Amino acid sequence: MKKLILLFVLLHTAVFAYTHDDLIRDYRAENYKSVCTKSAVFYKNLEKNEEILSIIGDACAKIDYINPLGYIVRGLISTPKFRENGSYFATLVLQKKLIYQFMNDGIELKNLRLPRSEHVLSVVFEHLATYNYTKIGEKIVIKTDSKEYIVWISSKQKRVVHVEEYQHGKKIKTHRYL
Amino acid sequence: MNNIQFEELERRVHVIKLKSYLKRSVFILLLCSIIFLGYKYILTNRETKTEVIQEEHKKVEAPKQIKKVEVKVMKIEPKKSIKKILSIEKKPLYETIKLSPTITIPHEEIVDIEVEEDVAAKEDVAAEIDVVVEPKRKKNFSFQVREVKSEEALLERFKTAHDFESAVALANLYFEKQKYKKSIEWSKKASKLNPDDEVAWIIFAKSKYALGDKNGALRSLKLYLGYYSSDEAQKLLRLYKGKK
Repeated sequence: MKKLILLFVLLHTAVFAYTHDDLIRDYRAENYKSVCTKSAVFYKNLEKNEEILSIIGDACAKIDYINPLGYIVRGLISTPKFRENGSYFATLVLQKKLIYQFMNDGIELKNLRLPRSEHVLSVVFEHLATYNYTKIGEKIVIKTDSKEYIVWISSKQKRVVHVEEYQHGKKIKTHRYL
Repeated sequence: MNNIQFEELERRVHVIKLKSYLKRSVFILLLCSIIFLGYKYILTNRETKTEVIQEEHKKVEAPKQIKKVEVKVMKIEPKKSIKKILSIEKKPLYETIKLSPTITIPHEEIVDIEVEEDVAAKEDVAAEIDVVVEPKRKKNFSFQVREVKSEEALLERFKTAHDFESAVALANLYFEKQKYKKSIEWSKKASKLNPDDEVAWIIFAKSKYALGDKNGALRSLKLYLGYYSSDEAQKLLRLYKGKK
């Protein structure tokens, strides 16, 4: 009986295992959520293929799953391209934590200079660190040439930081960070 | 035996019967699940194989003469989802480094291998051995491609990606350079990564033959043909048998 149960579990694992090919297929199809959520088995088990790690990191960054990037950065070491990817992901983690701390505790971000990128976290951080924003009530409004960002924190027990992206007056996306 | 004892006994028998039924039903349920999962696994595998055969159907072209291998990579405009993020034009709020991720999908480089006339026509064996590395079929999507110029670049690529294409390209490169031992080593690595592919096996057999190990070459070809069918491998086997 025990052997049967074990066999059942092993077969189930083998049939539904997520492979590199599945990951690449999902990434090409822009199923970033699928890539990020199902690839935990790779980065938690010290995946060595840095191209795969970069793909996972990019997918997670695109859907605002920033926490897994902390696992991914440790494998990105061999070439300048991968090291830059590692620094990019590590920067996003730090920026997210600092913005969260800023919104919760009002810490001083002045004179903090982190690498820039095109990610929304970097844009928001850059403006917060240079006082380039307006505060309207409890919300922070950031204006750039092409977009507007409204940053606010929820008042519920799990205080989630929301970053709403607006373009030409219309909300195009909401990012949530915990 | 009085009534109470009899009832107690009946109750025990009932419990034992229940346990037995439960065990049987769990066993049947597990068996059905195993059969269903096995069926699903076979189905998934079959679909994947069909897709692979349809998408990556190879044409084996045997050029008549050995030529120098020149590896060219077709540059294709990257799709917007897979590209280096361009720097913004406006002045930054403070001076700092700019980071942007570079994402490349493994196994997706087009390697266009052209063959030209070779000096190694001296050896009878070399003159008859055709280098057959099929150009990869172009796919519809676009992606970023790196130029593969040298042995060092291929080695570095294999170090990071551990992919079949790099291994087989290295095996082919060493074969062309007449470094047959290294060619054997890399074709073995390539065949471990993708045992189905005939190219690695063919390079292995040709390298063995070039080193004078005709029996080794014949053995490897027969072994491969025992599991897979391949016109090119058959041709090579007939050629080597004829020369024996």
